[in-house]
Amino acid sequence: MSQNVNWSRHPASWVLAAALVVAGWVLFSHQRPEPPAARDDLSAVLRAWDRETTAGDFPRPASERGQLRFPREHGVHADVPFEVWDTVMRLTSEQGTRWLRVRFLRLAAAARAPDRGSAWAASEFLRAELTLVAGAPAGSAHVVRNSRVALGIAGRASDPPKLWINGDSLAWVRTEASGDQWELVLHESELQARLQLTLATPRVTSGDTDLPGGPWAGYLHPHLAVSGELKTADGARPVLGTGWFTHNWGPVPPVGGQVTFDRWLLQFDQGDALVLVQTRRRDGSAPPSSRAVWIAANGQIRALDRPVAQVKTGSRRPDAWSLITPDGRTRLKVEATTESTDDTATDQGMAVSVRVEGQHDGRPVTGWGVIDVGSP
Amino acid sequence: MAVVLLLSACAPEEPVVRTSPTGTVPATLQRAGNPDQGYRALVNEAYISCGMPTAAWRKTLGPAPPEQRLPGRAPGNEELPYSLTRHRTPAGADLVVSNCLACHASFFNGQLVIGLGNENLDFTEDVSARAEAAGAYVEAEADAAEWKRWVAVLRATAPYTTTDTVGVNPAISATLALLAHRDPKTLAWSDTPLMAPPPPTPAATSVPPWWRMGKKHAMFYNTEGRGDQARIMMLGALLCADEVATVKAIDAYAPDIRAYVTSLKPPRWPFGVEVKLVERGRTVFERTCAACHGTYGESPTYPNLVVDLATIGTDPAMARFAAGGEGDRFSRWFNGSYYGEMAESAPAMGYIAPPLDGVWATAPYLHNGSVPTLELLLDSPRRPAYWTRSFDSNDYDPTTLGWRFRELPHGKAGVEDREERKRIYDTTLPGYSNAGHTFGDALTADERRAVLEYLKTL
Repeated sequence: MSQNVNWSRHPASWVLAAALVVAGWVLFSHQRPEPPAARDDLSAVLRAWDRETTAGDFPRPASERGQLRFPREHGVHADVPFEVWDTVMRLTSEQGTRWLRVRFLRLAAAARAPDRGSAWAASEFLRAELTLVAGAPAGSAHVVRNSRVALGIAGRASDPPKLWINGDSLAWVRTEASGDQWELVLHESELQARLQLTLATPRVTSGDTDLPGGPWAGYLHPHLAVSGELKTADGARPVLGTGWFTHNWGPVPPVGGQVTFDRWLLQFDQGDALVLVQTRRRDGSAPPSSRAVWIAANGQIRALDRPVAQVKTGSRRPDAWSLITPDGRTRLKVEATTESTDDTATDQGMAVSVRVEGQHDGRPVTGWGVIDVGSP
Repeated sequence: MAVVLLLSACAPEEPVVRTSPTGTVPATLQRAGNPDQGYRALVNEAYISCGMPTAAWRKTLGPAPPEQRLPGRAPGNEELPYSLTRHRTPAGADLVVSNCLACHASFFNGQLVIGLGNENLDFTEDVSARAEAAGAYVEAEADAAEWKRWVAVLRATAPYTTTDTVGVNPAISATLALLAHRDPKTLAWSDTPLMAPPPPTPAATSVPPWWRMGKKHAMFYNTEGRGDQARIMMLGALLCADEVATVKAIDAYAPDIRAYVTSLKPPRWPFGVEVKLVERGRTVFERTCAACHGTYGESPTYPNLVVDLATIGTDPAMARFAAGGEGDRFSRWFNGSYYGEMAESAPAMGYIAPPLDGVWATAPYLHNGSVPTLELLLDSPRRPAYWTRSFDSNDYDPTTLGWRFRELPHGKAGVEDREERKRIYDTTLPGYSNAGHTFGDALTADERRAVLEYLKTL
């Protein structure tokens, strides 16, 4: 191991990873967003949790490039206070296209279980968020469940990796030994589903993208094949689709500060993908700064040269963007999908489902994706 | 006409730019200093006075591991790595700032060696984006103001500090960029350049070891840096110093830092040597190398000799930029500033033959770091055009006296993977040539081996 300081991985690289987590707290495209108070509560929880764990007994996690091992990484990393599993899916059925996002969040106050006798004693907290967007006029469903990891109400297992809340009503379960396939089980009154998710292109370690890094670790699956059944108030139907999955773990992410972050996750029909993180000052005192990587279908990663991402229309709630690089290799036009038109911004930010078209390396590209817009 | 003459008489005198001849560099008087006080200043004073708020640093990097900490640091610095210093500003901001050791200390064989240039640093990314992102952890008003000041400098200079190869140091280009953004008289910062900045691709540069400085009459490869070395060293303060008074305060203790730097000795060769071979190598060295590089032992000599480009034959880009007219505006800036009051930018069209104390520890070689080992420095036909290495400070080859490397069949062209591309040293790129210094080619294999054995003892 080299003992020299690597300035390229200097300080703030991992803050971007935190941004990836925080930017999407408000799930995309729901007609009836959660009341602001609930979101404020979450910020307060994160702040309090951060203070609690600053002096805690968490060892500093290692996130060396290429050090991740699967399938164990799908499971919980008990040596860090914060962890998120985030799946975004675009599902099609005979009734059209729907967007489904499922996010599990874990907060831990200590690396070890509490040394107390009460069955209610818990050092971990799980939160699950579901958002289904069917587009007008069908509307959206949004479900949030919070639970302490105790009494079997919510929990986690490592072999095979599994997370659950409300006694399996919301569960993330690995079902295949290589870690390349797993199952999502959703059993809520408004939304029921059993979905098989399978890796369609190579997995990418966050450190390889140089977007996150530092003490934040994680990985992303830029292309998942999704199949299964989805049941809502208007009936059950088989669905097929494609999706993203990201899993990050590390320190409690920042709430507040001088900057906020936007994240773009774009999938292209040819199997390529793009991740962009834009840093914006809350007071607008400097132009935004963007970093982006193009992930080829074979897993090869290339950083875009000085990408310039701009909002084209929609000042309060953006609905069109552009991305260009000065070398002319990449030129993309991004627009909110029709399903997003009823999306409502909150003071915590928002997420927008988008379609994309343009040119990359001299060839036309089209695709879809999600832009998580950070809080103002 | 009278008006013209009057205006001419009142116009500020344009600082003179002159180049230096090749040949011997004359000595100049240096201010005396106290090396012990110099060490304390080096590791505790905030001569680079802007940086990341401590709160953000704690959330990102956090306390350094024990092997990266230094003894004798002032309170508040104990948990920092050797390369960072704690700084509280008069306005109440609590910062962690870089210090000289970020580039001028490095691990070798498991030990931190102060003064050894760090050849494993990675400047291939635009650090300003990361600095900007650190703002997520900046809350206090005073901290926020300092964070903005720091990021503004990093943003403006990013194009000139981002290299395309790991291990290449952009310090020269970064300094020239700072000159372009600061008024030479007042040092006031301008977000837009006040004169043309340097070329956007930093020239390939290897970091020389500090323990050579006591022998050298000019600090840099092309013999810029003539005059009062203490003041020249404090060019680094230009990253953050917005007024002359700030630099003057630093200049008060700069001679102590220089005294510490010149007191440094190279580390001892940590492996064994063949004594008979060493003696044979000394003979060959003194016959072949000493005229330029000096002699070593109890009565060392060092000629401070600048060798012209035609003779040395190494990559000419750095020397030509500075002495060929293109860099005149930077020399003019320096000579007309507070720095120019005791020093001069007068580059030569050539390179100085460095002292070779501890040369075995300073791979890769030549001013641009284009040759991975001393063995190949003495055998130019075998130098690889394209090569890569692990950038692990323990990956040293005690036989070839340099970094273990892997020769590649291709350069950077066509390599799409960013991680792979930035670790390729491509000697076909401008400024990266491994040509020249062919003086070892005429040695027999046995003579070359003997010289290498001798160099281990320096």
